[in-house]
Amino acid sequence: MNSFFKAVAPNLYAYRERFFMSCGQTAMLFLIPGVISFVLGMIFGIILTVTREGGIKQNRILFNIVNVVINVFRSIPFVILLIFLIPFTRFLVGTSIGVRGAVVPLVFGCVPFFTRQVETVLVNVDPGKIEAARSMGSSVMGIIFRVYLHEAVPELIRVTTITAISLIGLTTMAGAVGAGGIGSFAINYGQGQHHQDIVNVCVIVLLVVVCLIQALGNFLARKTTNRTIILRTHSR
Amino acid sequence: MIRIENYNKTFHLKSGDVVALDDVSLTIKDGEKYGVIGYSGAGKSTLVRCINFLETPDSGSLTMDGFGTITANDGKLYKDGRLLSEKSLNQMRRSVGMIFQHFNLFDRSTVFDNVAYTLKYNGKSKEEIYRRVFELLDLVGLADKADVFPSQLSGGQKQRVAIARALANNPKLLLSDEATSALDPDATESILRLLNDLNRKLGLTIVIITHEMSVIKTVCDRVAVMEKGKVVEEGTVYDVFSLPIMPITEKFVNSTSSLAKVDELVRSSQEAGEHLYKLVFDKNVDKPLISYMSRNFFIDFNIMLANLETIGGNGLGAMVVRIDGDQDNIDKAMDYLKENNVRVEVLA
Ligand SMILES: Nc1ncnc2c1ncn2[C@@H]1O[C@H](COP(=O)(O)OP(=O)(O)O)[C@@H](O)[C@H]1O
Ligand SMILES: [Mg+2]
Repeated sequence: MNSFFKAVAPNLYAYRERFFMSCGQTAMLFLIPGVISFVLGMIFGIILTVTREGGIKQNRILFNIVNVVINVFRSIPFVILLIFLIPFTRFLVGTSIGVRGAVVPLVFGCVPFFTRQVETVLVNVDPGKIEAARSMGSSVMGIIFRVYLHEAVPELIRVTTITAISLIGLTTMAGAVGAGGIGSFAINYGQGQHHQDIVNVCVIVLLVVVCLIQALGNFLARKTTNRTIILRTHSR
Repeated sequence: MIRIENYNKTFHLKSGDVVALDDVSLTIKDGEKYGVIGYSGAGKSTLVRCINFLETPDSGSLTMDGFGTITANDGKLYKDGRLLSEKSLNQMRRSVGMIFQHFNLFDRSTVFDNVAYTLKYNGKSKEEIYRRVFELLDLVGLADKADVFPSQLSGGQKQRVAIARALANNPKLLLSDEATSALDPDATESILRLLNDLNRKLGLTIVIITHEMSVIKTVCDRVAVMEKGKVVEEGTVYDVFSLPIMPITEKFVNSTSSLAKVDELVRSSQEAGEHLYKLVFDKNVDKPLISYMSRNFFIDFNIMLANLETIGGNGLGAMVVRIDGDQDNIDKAMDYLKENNVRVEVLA
């Protein structure tokens, strides 16, 4: 195994410790902001859904605040966001570099994207179901958890998958603030030192990870869909 | 008893204001099957949605036995002079069931979980919930489908599940908004029969919204006809059918009667100078009048259109006849009919 490795990717083999460390960093850069973004995106997505006009807990002020903030952060390119957030990050977590320093901008880069997706999914839950729940005297919280979230599980899994994949993309840029990870490893040790094998393996690793996430997402989404989708050939 | 007083509701749209309810007042008795009919956009859905306050009326009040009076003012709801809390509104909604045109079942929940929706998180034990759900499923004849998902059910079965779900909290009142409009005739009939049964077995009061007169005819005791946000006519189904007053009501009545083609007939008879009469025989008529008249007034009846039906156990007949004979004799015959409670209308 080792000799095979040595033969196909000699440079990578030489830097294998650094490589595994980078993989670990990417895992951290993915998991920590991922979990935080998931929670925040869900909360903001729910807020946007229920407080909008015609929502079950209409609140124009709260809706507008969240809506504007999300829009602003969505329109800033991530690399700019990384730099822009440095003072805030330092204030919040004490440092603006390394994995710790990258978590904050990654969350800011991920949450707006995920929030919009969650919002779209929830707004598309059949209003008839919401109406039925309201007619049964369900509380706002009851409707959020037992109707909106419950009915949208497969769709939420789909958008979580998409967001997770795009977060992997963002982690590769976190090298810019010295957070390491596969992205910066590929640039510094691969491209920087003209070791093409390192770049190639990094690409393959990322590709495999993305494919695994996608496959897992598809599997879970299918598993949670209880609607038999019948392709109707006759018109109705 | 449910009393709706002076309900008003206007929707303010960019394209202008839409008056959905215009000073609507109604009283629905306990155990009654009350129909509301009207064309699309008449305000029927808005009216029922203002009964369980899915929609808030601009003004008006609702009085319901066991819950008191809720007054709407300026888009807010008040009870006993105080703002109605969300909690007590939800509590009130739990005592009013509602079913919909598109069933609105939770697709990711089994039939069991759909029916159990309001029972869960309510301090009830698992056994209690289980027992109640199967009681309800038995009531609608779907106990064998408990573990199935809605997508595997037919439209009629979905509506049965929706009915079971709506009845979970033992409501005294069921609101039905076009519950059979998406169903085929067979399923429609079976759902209407089920509603009838539930009314009888549980003493359930049912408010039925529809745009189909046949639905009113099959189930309802009383009916309100709505047009442009107003109730334009109201009464027992029999009375409304036998003597519609407003043109729109007559249209609805004719929609289920073979007399609908009368207009054409009137035109051609007018051109031909024939005598065309419409005769309505209601429950007060019990003599064989036509043959008697033929014999005694020397006139001939030619029945052009006829419609006979039973509404709430009472017969109702109407026919359009061409009468050939001496005008004097015809007039005498018509007077004779009127004496015998037949309503006579000269068409041509
Ligand atoms: N939520 C709403 N927003 C704006 N307009 C509405 C709303 N609900 C109903 N309307 C309007 O009010 C009128 C009555 O509607 P509705 O009560 O649904 O009638 P029906 O059930 O008799 O077809 C229609 O013109 C409809 O467009
Ligand atoms: Mg309607």
